[in-house]
Amino acid sequence: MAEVKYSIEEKMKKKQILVVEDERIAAEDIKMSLHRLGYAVSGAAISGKEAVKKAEDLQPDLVLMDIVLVGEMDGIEASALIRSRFDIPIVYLTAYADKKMLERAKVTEPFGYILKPFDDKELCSILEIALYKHKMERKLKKTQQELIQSEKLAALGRFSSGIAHEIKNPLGIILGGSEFLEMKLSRVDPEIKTAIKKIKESTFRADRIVKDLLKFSRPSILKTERIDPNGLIRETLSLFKYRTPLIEIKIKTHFAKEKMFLEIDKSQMQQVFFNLLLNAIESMPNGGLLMIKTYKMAPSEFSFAKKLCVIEIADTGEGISKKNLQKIFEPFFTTKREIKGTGLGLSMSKMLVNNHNGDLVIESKPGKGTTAKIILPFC
Amino acid sequence: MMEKILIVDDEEDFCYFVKKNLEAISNYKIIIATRGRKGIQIARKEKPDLILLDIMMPGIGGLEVLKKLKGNEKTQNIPIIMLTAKDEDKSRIKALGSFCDDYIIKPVENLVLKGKIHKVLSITK
Repeated sequence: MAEVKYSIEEKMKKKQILVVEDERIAAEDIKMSLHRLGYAVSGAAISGKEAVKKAEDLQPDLVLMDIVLVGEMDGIEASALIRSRFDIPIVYLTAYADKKMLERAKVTEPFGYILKPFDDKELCSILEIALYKHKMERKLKKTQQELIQSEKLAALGRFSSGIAHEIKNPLGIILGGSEFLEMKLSRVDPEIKTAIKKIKESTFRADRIVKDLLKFSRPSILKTERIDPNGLIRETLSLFKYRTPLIEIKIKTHFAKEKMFLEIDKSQMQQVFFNLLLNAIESMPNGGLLMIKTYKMAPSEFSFAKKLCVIEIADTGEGISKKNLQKIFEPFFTTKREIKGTGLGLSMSKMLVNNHNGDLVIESKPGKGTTAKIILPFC
Repeated sequence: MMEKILIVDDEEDFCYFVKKNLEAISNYKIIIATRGRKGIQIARKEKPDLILLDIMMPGIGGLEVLKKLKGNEKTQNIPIIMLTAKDEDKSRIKALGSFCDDYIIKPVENLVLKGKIHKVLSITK
């Protein structure tokens, strides 16, 4: 069968299926059925090893997997690897259904098991259910992770509140002692002056961390008011004129033309904007483009709000690796040790946006840049 | 005239440096009490011009000391600045509700502390 070509738009809409089948005629049959049912075949493989490689390269939405394949690795072994490494759902399509085979297949947690010969209706219903189930599974995992994260933050807050004064008292003594030494010794030796200055700076840094930690422990009482997000962004941007040199950074704004109002706590949301703008600016030490957009978004399945407002802050900095992106909302996770980042800015920003029934999403491509999206419900 | 400042704080090292640092840049005479009860006694006897008062202390805590001092006619007019590691709204509200004159969180720079003392003294005199 001739290869069917899809436009990029079509590929975006259609679910991508990787077909793993070592018999050529059977593979062509499956592909034809998939095309008839409105799916896109992102690729095909004839061995387990090839299936794993293509799953990694193509990242399909689902793998339709035969069990008995050419080569050393069979379909079950390949499925186990694909599930654990790339979290792609598997549906088996095989002629075998003996008890031993089923037992082995079960362990890989497949999203379906189809026996050959199959018909289009059966294939379609199993694939649709599998794709939906996987989508819901991902959503559930995301919610679980967010719950764990918020529980971690709450625990951190309780802990910080308990120990804050135990840390602040010795900090008071360190600062007092440094200032005492500064008076007595700094005229004697400039090196001593430098050393004392560093001690004082570190004291203030430790104090800042304690202050940030304490914010997690405070119950968040929102003092909301009707705010135009575009105005608040402009106001927050103006703060950087005095704090950070923006010489090499070009700022572009693309604000929604129609008036938008949000019911938000001004100071909390300004802190979120400030944190995200600062991150964007610091990711471009050699200059770049800072793009700020605001727009309306249709409600997603993840929100009960009728209308949503998105505030997007994008940079052209170095971006964040996939590995780091997973940890980005963990308290104390930072890639900015050298500029003394505390690793609390993003976790706190997420908490503050969540308090407004919104969400903060970070998308990034290493080498290209990062986009932070604040999604908030309209009042 | 040399103004007398009483520090009531159980952290002896902290008191030592506050005393040394403030005396170096001002004409204040600094007296130290490392317990709340002792602080009340000294306040009644010495009548300081201002008190720097910690909150978390063994025995009588700072908020209790504040109430006792503000509730006694001998000491009620002495301005009191809370100087504490307790960075909590609850404590701040309690202290301000008992008529303390300022609330400073540790650690604090010597010049800032001197400025706050000066401000409170000029308002209350």
